[in-house]
Amino acid sequence: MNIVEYRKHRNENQIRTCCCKRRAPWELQPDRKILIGTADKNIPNNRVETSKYNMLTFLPKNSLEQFRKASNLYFLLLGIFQILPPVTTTDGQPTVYLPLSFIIMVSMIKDFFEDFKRHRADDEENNRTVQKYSLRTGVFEYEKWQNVYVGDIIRIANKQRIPADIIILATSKGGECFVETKNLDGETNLKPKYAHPQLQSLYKQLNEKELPYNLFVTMDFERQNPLMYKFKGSFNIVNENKEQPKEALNYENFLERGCSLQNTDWILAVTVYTGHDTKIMMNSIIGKMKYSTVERLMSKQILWVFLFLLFECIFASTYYNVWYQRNVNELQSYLNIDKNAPENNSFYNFVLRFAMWFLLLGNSVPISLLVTLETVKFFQAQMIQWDKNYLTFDRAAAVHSSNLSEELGVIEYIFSDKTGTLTQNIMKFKSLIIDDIVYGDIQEQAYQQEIIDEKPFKEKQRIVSQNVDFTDDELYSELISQFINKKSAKHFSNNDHIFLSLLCLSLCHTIQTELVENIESDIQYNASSPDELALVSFAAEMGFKYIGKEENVMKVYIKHSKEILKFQIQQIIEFNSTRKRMSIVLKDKNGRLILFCKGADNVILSMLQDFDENDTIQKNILFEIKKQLQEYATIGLRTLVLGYKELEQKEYEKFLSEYNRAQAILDDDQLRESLMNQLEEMIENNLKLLCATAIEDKLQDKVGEVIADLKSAGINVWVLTGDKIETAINIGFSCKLLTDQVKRFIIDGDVEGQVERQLGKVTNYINDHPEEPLSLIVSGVALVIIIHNFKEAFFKVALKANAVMACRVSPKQKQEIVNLVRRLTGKITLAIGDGANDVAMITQAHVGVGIRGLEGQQAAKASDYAIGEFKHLRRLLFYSGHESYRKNSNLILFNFYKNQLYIGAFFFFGFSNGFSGQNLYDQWLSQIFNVFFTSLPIILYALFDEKYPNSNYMQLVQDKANFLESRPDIYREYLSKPIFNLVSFWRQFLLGLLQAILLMVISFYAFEPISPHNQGQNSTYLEAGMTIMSAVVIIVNLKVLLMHNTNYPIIIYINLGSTICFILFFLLFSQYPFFESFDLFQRLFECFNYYMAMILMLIVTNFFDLARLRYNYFVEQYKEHQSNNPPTQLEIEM
Amino acid sequence: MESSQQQDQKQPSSIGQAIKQQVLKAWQPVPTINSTIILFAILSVYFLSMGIVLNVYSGEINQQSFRYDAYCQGYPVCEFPIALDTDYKAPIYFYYQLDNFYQNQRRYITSKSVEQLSGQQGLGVGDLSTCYPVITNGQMGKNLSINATPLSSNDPAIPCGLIAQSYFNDTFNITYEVNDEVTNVTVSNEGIAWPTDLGLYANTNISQQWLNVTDERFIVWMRVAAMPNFRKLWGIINQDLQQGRYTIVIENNYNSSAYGGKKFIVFSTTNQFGGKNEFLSVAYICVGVASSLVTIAFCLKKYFSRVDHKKL
Repeated sequence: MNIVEYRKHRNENQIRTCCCKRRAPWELQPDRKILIGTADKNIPNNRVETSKYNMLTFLPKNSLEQFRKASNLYFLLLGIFQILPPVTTTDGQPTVYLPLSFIIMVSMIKDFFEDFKRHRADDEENNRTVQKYSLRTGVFEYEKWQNVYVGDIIRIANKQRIPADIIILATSKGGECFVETKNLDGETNLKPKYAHPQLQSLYKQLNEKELPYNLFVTMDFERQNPLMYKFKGSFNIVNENKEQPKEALNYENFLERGCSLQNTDWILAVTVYTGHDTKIMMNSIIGKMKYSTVERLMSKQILWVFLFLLFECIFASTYYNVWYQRNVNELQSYLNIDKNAPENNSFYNFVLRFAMWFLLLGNSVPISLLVTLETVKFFQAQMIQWDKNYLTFDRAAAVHSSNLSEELGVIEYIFSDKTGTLTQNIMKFKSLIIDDIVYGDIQEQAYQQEIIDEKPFKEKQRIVSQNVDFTDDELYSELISQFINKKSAKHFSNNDHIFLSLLCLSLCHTIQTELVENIESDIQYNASSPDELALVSFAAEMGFKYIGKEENVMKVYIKHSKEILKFQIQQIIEFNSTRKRMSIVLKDKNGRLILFCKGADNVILSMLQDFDENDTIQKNILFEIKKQLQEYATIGLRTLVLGYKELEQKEYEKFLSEYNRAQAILDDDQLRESLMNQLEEMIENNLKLLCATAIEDKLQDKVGEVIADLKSAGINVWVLTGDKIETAINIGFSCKLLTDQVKRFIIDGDVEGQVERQLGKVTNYINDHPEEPLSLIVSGVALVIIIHNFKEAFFKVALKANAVMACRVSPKQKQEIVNLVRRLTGKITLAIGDGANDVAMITQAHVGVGIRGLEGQQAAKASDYAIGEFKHLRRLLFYSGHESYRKNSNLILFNFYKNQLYIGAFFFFGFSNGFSGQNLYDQWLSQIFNVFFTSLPIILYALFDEKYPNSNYMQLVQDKANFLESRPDIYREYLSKPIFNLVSFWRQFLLGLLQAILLMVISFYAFEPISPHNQGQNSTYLEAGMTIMSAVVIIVNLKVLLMHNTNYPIIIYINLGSTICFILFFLLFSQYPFFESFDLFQRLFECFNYYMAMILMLIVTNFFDLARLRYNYFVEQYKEHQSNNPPTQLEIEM
Repeated sequence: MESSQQQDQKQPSSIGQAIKQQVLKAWQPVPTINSTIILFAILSVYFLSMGIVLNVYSGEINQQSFRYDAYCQGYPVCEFPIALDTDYKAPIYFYYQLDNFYQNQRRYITSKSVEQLSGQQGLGVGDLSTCYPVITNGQMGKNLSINATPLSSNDPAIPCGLIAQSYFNDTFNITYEVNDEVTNVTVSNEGIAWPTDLGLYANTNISQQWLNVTDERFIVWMRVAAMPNFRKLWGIINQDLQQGRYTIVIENNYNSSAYGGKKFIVFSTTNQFGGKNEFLSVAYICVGVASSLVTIAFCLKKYFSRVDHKKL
């Protein structure tokens, strides 16, 4: 074997582009050959960069991006037009560049900070440390993640995260280790991974001593690729040039970046893929930019406005041409247009006027709108992040795409994950039913608050721990008294159901633990199912503590008699979704075999040993248990029934041999499955009833209340879960999504016909009772069939349903459902989830909300909004979203109104001069009008205005910081009557245009044709123009004040300040003959007519607007009075 | 008041915190129908009274205009008889008015050279492109300067441009007869232009100019009007004029028939608010009426809401 070949092998392909070398795409990379322990420095190291720029590239790259935005390009071109001599309306000065550069600067600063944040996040990731084996010194040294290369040997300690994709060389557990992959797939259970035995034996001593110098391990494996759950490779140990056969490596030996090591002291591993080559990075979803619906509608309207602008230009240039041709003789005398001059040519004239008018009216597309909106949204996002009401464990909400703040105000569909989102993923053991006795109160949960506040009248002992919330006196004392009687566990028989039940609880599971030295100390259980955790924890609380397994022997420590019981595991028949039960066969130290079985109630109850019809006791017990279980189910508790069976040695042996034979059938999967199922059923049959349990799937705080509020706000809540139908229904009940009053339909067929039948039933029901509410529960399998065949029919039903729950759906299906609803209804959707399995749906929905779990940030990272708990959704929608929607919509409407008011005036001025393209305002003042004089007030409005100020309502409603949070009906209002739509947009647009006529008329006739000055001097066209301009500044700023629901002194000052800013600029410009407005300030401000005209203009615009608004307001208030609702305005005397 | 007490405890310590938590002390006006009625009632009163006041003031101003282009048609010098209806108190402002003259044409407005008018020396034809299409003496149609030196037709015209070219050059001499004795009324052209404008104009070289650009009448002309019918101040009469007949001797140089326009002369006095302006007073009265209607509408709204309430 040639080691040199491995040393020299090029693992990295580059392609040459025009000027520089670049990495080839992964498809063109070679398969890798490395020497374990020798870093291949040709392959990029483990550094990860998600930032877009660095110090050098920021300016060129970002500027390029700025001009990729249509609006910026538009204004850039407008500026070029302004320079062209024949068309310039600004003496060849590109005045539009003044606001444009300001806008680009703001945008650049924003990009800079965003990239800076990414840099920081990257740095944090890249500068984590890991122990890396140094060939030079032969010991492990701490090294930054980013300095890890392919081929490096690293050592990872328990609970640490894996820095790169690695192959396990050795572990502290003899070749086995456990990892948690929550970051990758959202699953919280631990997965075992293994080191190859040869590597394990070779490398396990590397901690202490170096490898022999002449020993090499070569590795061959695939090129980097984005295929998950797959690794193909081989290694070869070359000892003193002696070659051993190649050994294969596969996914079992492979660990991805992003997992974390659990329950294993350490592992040694070799890096195989680094940095951007890792599976997680190659699969990382590059978040598409999401735009809010309001913004998309706005962009579309901008296009229409642009068309309107073109229409105006065409109108103006045509008008000019016609007018000119009519008056050509008259105009000749003072315009000196030669008969042969191009100006006499209609076509030339048309083009020229068109360009001029285009320049003049170009600002109809508000230059400052986009940047204003961006700024506002950025700060609105900050507000959410600052808001203490979103704090969960001292962590505030995080906003990842500030673009969407107004989208939150018009959500109509919410798709929620269940586990970790609605529920805490914590199971609390609540109740145990042995025979017909119920231990453990369940109602108490509702009175928790009171119990803490005042002494409850009947005080029961309450055991509360991570997975147990058990309020009961009898069980424990009963147990103690039994132990006092019998002294030791060996005196208990199978008829002692309490003893046997607890033993069953502590044994019938597949939990992993570490054996601890001190049996009294706490034990860390690692369960793949949180239910099991609850059961075992409960047993431990009751003194039956499972302390782990040693070579197939399960040990239970009985606290009461201080002895350890040992059971040898004979067989575990695992849980799956069709069996809905699991069994374990154990052999105690006397050699007796016992089978414990636990499972869904209907399954276990149907497998019970038949009993005599006349056995009233048994019958009674069964009846009681069934009744109790039914009751639990309706309040959403998860119930399990446990049974046992004593097995004869012979019976078991017979089962075992047949079972093994069945298992060995390899060529026919179906046969094997059915045979095994038969055998399993046989051995599990004829159980004796032991007990039933109730576990509370702990809901997150206030989930029920919030869901009820969301629904009364007109939002449809769909739950999409990977869980079983039963659990989903349980949760549906406990969070009040489902109730017994509402008819429930379940579609869970496996085959087409069945699904069709079930669907048909629902359709019929809807046709018969169109007004009746219903809820729909659909399984993932059925959903696949539905999406293939009955998409329309299903969604017709589903969109009618009060509640929809989809169970056992994959991440992909979740995404598909969201996508379909989004497409079919055209409504705004929101997806909320906490796990990596929700990422697809979070990115698919209009708005993705991530719940930041205690661990696992995948969903939160991919989301647009990351919050700590489901209950914050209410504030996020009802307050933050609703208010943002209101304010941002008004901001957009206002901006178009403003520009029409401003620009419309000189469009109408065109009628007085045949649309010759003369401007009316001082060009420099005109260009900064938008940015400097009229932007800040509306920005402050959008940031600080509140329908119901926090400060006034803060303490009024418990736990609802803003009054809006308690008013779902107000949220609902905007769903049916959006503020921002086509009609409102064009109404504002035309309102601006019409009011512009008024301004034009008033300002011109106030100054013309007589002298407005008491010295008899004449005014000029610019005086009228500047009067309009100052009127517009004052009108629009005042309009913002009138729009405010809440007034803050500081904001009033700033608003006035904006107007004063205009006055100062005007004054300044008036001092220099360079500007057209030279000396106009003095003239206007000492002119009486100016003030008269100003007041008149204010009244005909704003005050008549105000009258309209007030009138609408009173009508609405009156309506509310009539419908006997409490008034919207919560009036408090402060 | 319990709530406000709790609120004080929660009151954030600093302004920064208050902003971050959106709990700035706010003032939220609650619109009521009464306040609205009062507001609009005040507006109505204000506008109606202002309208009347403006009307009264406007009525105090004497103003009369006389069209003379038709009368003087074809005469280079014409004696135009007029009659003033009332006595005019000094200062009387004497305007000429042109109709259908589009000074607000873009081509027209831009056709001048600010540099040249400010007296900058040595501006060649190339520097005066803004004067297009009238840059040279030839284009201007002038061959003699003010002091009668011949001008080269290729030299730049001073002043150049369309505005200058179309400079209104009729002159007026107001006379009246008392006891068969003809007396001239002095019409001063001093102070007819804005003082600040005077500083912007200077002569370059009289012998190369066809016009004195510091002439205040020229400066007034250069401030172009916004509307096609406009008045320009020609002079100030610093003596009272009695009601009666006057003859205006007009040098009828300006060809208004070429552009199909009319020419007027206007006598006007001013008050402290400027010249006669009926538009504002009419507009104020209109708005006042509209505002009253709004007030009445709100009153009715209030009345009917109350009636309905009683029914409930």
